[in-house]
Amino acid sequence: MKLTDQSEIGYVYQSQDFLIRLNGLPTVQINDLVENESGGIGWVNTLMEDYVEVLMLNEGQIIPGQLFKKLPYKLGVSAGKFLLGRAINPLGVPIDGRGLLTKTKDVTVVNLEQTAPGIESRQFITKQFETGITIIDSLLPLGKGQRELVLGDAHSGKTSFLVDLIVNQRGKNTVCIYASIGKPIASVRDLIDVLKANQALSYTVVIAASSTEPAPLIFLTPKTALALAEYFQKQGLDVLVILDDLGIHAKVHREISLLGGRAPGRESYPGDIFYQHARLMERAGNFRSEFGGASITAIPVMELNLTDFASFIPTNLMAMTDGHLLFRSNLYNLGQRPAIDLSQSVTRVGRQTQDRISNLISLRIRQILSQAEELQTISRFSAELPPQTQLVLKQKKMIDEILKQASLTFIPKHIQSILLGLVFTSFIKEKDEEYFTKEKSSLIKMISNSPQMQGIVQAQMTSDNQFIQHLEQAIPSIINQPGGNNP
Amino acid sequence: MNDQIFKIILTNTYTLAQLKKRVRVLKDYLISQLFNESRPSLNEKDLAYLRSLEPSFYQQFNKDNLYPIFADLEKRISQFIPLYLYLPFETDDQVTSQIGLFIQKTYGKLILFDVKYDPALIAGCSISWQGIYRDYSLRKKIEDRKQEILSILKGFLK
Repeated sequence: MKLTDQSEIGYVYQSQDFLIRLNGLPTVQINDLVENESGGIGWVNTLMEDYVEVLMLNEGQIIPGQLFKKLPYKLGVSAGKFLLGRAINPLGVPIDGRGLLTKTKDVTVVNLEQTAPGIESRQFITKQFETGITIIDSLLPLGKGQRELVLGDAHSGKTSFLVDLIVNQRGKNTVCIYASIGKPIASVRDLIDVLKANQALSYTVVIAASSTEPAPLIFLTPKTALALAEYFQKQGLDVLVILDDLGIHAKVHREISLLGGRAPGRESYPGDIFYQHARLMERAGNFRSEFGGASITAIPVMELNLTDFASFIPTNLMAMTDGHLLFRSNLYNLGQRPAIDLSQSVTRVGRQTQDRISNLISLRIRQILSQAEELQTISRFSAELPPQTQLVLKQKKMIDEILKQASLTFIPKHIQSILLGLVFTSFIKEKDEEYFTKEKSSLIKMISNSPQMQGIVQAQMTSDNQFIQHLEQAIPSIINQPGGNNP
Repeated sequence: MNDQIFKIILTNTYTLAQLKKRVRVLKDYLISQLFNESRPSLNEKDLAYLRSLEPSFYQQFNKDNLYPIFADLEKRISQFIPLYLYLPFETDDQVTSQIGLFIQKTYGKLILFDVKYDPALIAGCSISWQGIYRDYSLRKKIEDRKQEILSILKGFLK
């Protein structure tokens, strides 16, 4: 700690774990930083009449009477393209063992605490956020700038889904920011390895505060993620921010608040927990060109306890996002990947971004699935089913198979529409669901190679019936390809 | 009455540590006198202080008002904001009194100070008052002219 000619200082008069109270510091403000002589950094969190409450961001011995000096800068992090491919902690310190982030001294520092841009800076969400995952792009589409909550049981494939989201952004000029909030350090390391192996690290920034770090540092992780997201968005780049997971973030905030003596509310969470999360969520959106012109798509994640999504924090998060994807471990165990419960998942913005044909096909698919749901119960009591019912049940089985998608695979949007459209053609009479299980990847290849199928993609169609008619005519072009007749 | 007692205690008291010690010694002594408890073991310095107080001062205390008076005094002490004085050497009573008298003469009001020993200052001092720190030490002067000093030293090395 270097004291200048005149510095503002405070003395510790009380300390409890990572929370300390200081006397002095006459002009200090919220979010200022203070430092002691052993390099301990504290973040000014609360101002009281006769003392200042500071949260320590690193470990170190605090003793009463210790001197803390106010630092000339606020809580912030250096931002720039040099962050791509790197892993940092919420204060911008590299944690990947690859040395300094940049050698340039002239870097932009962004404040972690910023008010969300107002309505005048935002515009209607019109572009689809392509994930390359059939169930998402076709049935639960996301828009660029949407906030979609991912919630589900432990071991239901949430993390591999998040990895897919990042990996499938390759070549799409999107910056991905993954904030690992209070997760074990080993899982962060694994994630970095997977991203690296799939050439996804070059456009990704990993911000991690592991479960062993001090609670205030973990608390800052999503703020850093969104501050960096805002920086890249202002550079005109679309950003995907994954906040994994906000349930841990809420628990950390509860710990800090209880230690600070705030009154506990429902489930002992402090009264401002909704405010804290909503404040983060509203920083995402689709912005007008005068404000950078790109979008921030936010994917907050929440792990559920025994699939109970009706508890306090999940319902809060549902209320402040534009939909949610519910992952279930029982579906995962049945082999469904991604294990998204379609009937319980919602997207409120994405549909307006879908093209007309995908939207109409998606509507038909959802109709078939809900019909099949009802018919399945009846079919258990009847030996001989009417042909129409049999068709619906067969279509459902085929749809289920089409929607299954292995991790780290990308299916282009037009192929997704064709695959789902095939369910309504004569193709269904010749093939069964096993064909899709075994031959899906070769079918995708055949569709990609068929000039007639490409013609359908390029043709401007106005109705789903017209699309299905064209598809019907193009089926021989698939079947006649080598391997097409003999699945 | 408490104001008067406090004023007497503050006479010739210059540091916050000194004030706290004197109030504690006085309290222990008065408890032993008024409640016939065993007399606390006191060193020469403490005894000299107790002897310096007038008998009329002690007559103001009785069994009923002793605890309320000291509760009030302790509250007043906790509200004191001291001037922190960082010095590169340890001070004795004589130096403390000299500094205290200088401060009282310069500012014309009662300011208690706390001496903190910091050998890294090398010479001079630094002070902190109500959260503002000012450095008048040799360390600071050296730091300000570090490059200049280093270049002169490099000249000698050649």
